[in-house]
Amino acid sequence: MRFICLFAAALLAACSSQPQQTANYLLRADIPATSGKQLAASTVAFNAIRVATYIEQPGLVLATGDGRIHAARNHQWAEPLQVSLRRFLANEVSAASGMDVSATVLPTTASRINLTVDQLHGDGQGAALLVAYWEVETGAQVSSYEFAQSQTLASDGYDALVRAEEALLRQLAAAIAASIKAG
Amino acid sequence: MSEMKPEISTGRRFNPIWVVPLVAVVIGLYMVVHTKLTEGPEITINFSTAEGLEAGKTRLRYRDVDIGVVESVGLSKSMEDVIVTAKLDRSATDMLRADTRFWVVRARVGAGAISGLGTLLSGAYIQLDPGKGKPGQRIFTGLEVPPLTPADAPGVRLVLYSEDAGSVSSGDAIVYHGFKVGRIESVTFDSKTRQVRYDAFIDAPYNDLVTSSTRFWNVSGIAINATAAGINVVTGSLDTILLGGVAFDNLPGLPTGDKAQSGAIYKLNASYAELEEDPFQYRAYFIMRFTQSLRGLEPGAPVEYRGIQIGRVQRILMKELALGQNVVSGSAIPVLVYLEPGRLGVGDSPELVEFMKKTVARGLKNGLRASLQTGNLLTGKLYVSLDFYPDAEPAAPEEYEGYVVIPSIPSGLGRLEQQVATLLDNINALPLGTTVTEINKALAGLDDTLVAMTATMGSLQGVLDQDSTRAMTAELNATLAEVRKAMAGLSPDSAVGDSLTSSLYELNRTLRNIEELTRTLSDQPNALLFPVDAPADPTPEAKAQ
Repeated sequence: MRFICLFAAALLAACSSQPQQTANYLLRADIPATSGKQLAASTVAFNAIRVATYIEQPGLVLATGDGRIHAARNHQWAEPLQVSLRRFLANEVSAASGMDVSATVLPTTASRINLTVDQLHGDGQGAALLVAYWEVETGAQVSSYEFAQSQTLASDGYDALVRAEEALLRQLAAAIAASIKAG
Repeated sequence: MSEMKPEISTGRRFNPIWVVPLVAVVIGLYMVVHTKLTEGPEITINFSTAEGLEAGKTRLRYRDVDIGVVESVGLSKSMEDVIVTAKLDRSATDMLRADTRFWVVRARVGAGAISGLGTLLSGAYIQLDPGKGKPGQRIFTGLEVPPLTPADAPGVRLVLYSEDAGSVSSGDAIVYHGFKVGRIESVTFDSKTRQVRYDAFIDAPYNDLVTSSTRFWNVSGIAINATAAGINVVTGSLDTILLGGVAFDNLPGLPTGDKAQSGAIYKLNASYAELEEDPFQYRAYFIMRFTQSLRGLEPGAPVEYRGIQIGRVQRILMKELALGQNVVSGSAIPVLVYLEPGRLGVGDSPELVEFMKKTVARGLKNGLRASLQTGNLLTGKLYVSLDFYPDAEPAAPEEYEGYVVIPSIPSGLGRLEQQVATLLDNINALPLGTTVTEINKALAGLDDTLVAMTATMGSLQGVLDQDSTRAMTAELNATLAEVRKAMAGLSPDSAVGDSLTSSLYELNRTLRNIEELTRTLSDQPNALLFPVDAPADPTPEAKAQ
C-alpha cells in the first residue's frame, strides 16, 4: 500500500513543471519632463491606424525562416499595437516635426494621417523589419507614402528586438513628419 | 252292202272352238289394260352428251335402287342435245316433280375427289334426286355434273359475289375456324353485275353460324406478309391450301345479327386483309362540296368524326360536275363519301344505314359540317373531318345526284383567313368614338380636380403663415440643440466614450484569450487538467559580428 502511494506521488511529481515567466513590453515615446505645459491646438491628427492581422496580437513576432513566423508566448506587448502605436507615433511625430500632432481627430484637425503597418517583426537573421504605408489627407488632397526599413539587433534576445522595432518606428515617425512638412 | 247316207242336219249350232280365240281376246284386253294401268311413267331427259348411256341397259336409280331403264337414246331435232327417254317404275311417279334433278353417274376424277369408280364395271347409270315442286313433270334437263348437296339436305344456301374468280372453284370447302362446314356448289359469272357468283351451301347445324354480320374471305393458298415486325404466314387447312376454300366469321365488335336466310347475298373478300380494310357491307352515301384544293384527297381517304374514322371517300365527282347543267366557274367540287354504321360498332344492316342518314340530317341542323384537314404534312394527304360548328351559318337541306349534301366549311389557311376577317370585323365594331368622348369627359373632370387642389394649397399656405406655426419651428430648433448636447456626452473624448473604449479593449483581450484557449484545447485536449508544456520561444539572434 505504502509502495503504491509512493508510486502515485512519483507520477504526480512528473506532471509538475516550472511555469515560465512572461515578459511584457511597453511601447512609449520618451517624453521630456514637463509640468502644466499648454498644448497648442493641433491641426494634424492620426485618423485610422490599421495593423496587419498577424501582429494584431500580444506576442512579439519572429520570422523563423521559409515564410514561417512565431508569435512569442512569453514575450508580449503590454498593450495592443493599435493603441500603443497611436500614442507612440503621435508623440514621436510631434517631436520630429515640432508641431502638435494629435492621437485622435479633433474639430480643429485640418490634416489627417491614415497609417497601415504591414510588417513589424524580427526577421530571424539578426534584424527587425518594418513596412508601413500612410497617406496625408488635407481637404480633398491626398498624398500617399511608403516606408520599408530594417534595423539590426544590438544583441540576442527579445529586449534587443523590441529596441530595434522602437528604433524603426522612430524612423517611420520622422518620415511621417517629413511628409507632413512637405505636404 | 249298206249305203251310207250322210245325215244332213239343217240346224246351225255354236261351235265351241270359238271360245278359244274369244278367251284369248279377253285375256289380251286384260293384259293391255293391266299393263296400261300398272306401268310407270315415261320421261324425257335432255343431256349434252350420251356418254355411257345405252338404250335398254342403262338404269335409273334412286338411293342405289333401280327405278327405271333407259328406253331410247337419240338426238334432238336441233342436234344440239341428246334426248333420253326412260321408263320408270310406277312407284317412282311421285318423285317426278318440277325441280327433280337427273344426272349421269360415271367415273369422275377431280382435284377434290374421285367418284363413281363402281360404274367402271357396272356401267353408267342415271341418278334421280327427287324434288319438292309441282308433280306431273315428265320432261327434264339433266345436270352435267353431279350436285354436291342433295336438294333436301338440311342447311342454308347462300350466294357469294366477288370481283374475280380467284382460286375458288366448285366443290371447294367452306371452313369456319378451320373446320369444314360447307362447300361451294357452283361458280358462274354474272354478266349483269360483272361479278363472279358462287352458290354456297352450309350444312346444318352450322348454318346457324351465318348471320347478317358474317363475312366471307378466300383462304386459298398461303398468305405471306413481310413487315418490319417479321414475316407472317397465314394458311388454312391442308385441303384449302391445295384446293382453295372460303372461310367465314363474324366481324369482331359487331352484334351477331339475324340468322341468314336461304339465298342471302354476301361479298367474298379476296383475303382477310382486304376484309379488315373494308369490312362493312352497308353504307350511307353523302356528298360534300369543297371550294378549296383537293390535292391529296384520294378515294379511300378516311372520313373522321373528331378523330374517329367512320367512313371513306368514295370518289371525286369530277365527271358529274363537268356534265352538270348549272356549272358556273369556281363551283365547289362534289366529293362522294360513305359513312359506315358498322364502324360505330352498332351493327351492319340496312336499317342502321337509314338511322345514320337520319342522324346526319338532324346533325346538319345543329351545325354538323365537313372540312378538309391535312392528315400528313410530308405527303400532303388530306382527310375529311366531320364536326359540329354551332356558329356555322345555317344551311338549307340540299341534294346532289340523289345524295344528301353535307355542307363544308373552309379549313387550314382558308379558315385562318376567315378568322382574321372576323377579327378585323370585331375591331371595326369597337366603340372607339364613344370611348374618346368618355376620355374627354374624364379630362374635364380632372380640370375641376386641379382647381380644387389649388384652393387646398392656398389654404395650406395660410396655415403655414400663421404665427403659431412659426413658433413651432423655434421650439424644434431648441429641441435639436438639447439633443446635440446630450450626444456630446457620448463622444470619444467624454467619460462615457473612455469607458466604452476601455470595455471594448477588455472584450477584445478576453476574446483573444478564448481563441488561444480553444486553439490549445484543440491541440491538447488534456490541457485543462495537465499543464501545457509549451516550447520555449525562439530567441532573436543578433547578426554575428
